[in-house]
Amino acid sequence: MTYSRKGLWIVRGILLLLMAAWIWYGMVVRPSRDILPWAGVVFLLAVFALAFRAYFYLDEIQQGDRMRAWYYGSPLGIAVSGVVILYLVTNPAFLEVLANVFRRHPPHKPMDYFVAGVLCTMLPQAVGNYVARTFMALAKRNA
Amino acid sequence: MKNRIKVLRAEKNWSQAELAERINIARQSLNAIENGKADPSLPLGMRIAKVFGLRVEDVFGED
Repeated sequence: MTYSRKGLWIVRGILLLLMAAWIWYGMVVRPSRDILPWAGVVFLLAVFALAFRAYFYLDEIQQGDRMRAWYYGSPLGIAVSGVVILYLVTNPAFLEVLANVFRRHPPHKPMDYFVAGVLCTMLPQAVGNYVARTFMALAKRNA
Repeated sequence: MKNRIKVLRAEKNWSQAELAERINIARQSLNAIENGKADPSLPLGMRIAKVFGLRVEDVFGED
């Protein structure tokens, strides 16, 4: 384990550049729907690789905090998604609205479903992680 | 876990940032250790003790 503040900032900078490149690619280049999901997979893999590298630039206390945030944040995100799904299932009218959106913009290929599935699974967990981190930071401040 | 880092640091006239740099951790992490909000591993504890020229048990104690 080698803590490196400089390394962390470099990785953060690359991540920001990568996100800007992704927005530019989606809005300016406007790739076809055949390429977009694959580009998304490459983008996600690059983000994961950089995040993995950044983890090893943290010191052991920060690593412990990040692990704890994921430990509590992931189930929190999944639980909230479960509540949303239950709400949708028990409210057919709202489900119909969502179904109409999908009918208007139908995903055509299995890859589209795959990317949507990964996003629907990962996004709530990532949000849960940040919520947990916020609560942990507040708890530390108030302790 | 109780520790004497704050006192030892004051004796050496080191800031948190200075000590954090010497033991190669983030200043926020050192702050958490100093205030007992985080417990260091044994290697980190030994590193902290070493910069003060003391033994681990002279820096860290029981609650």
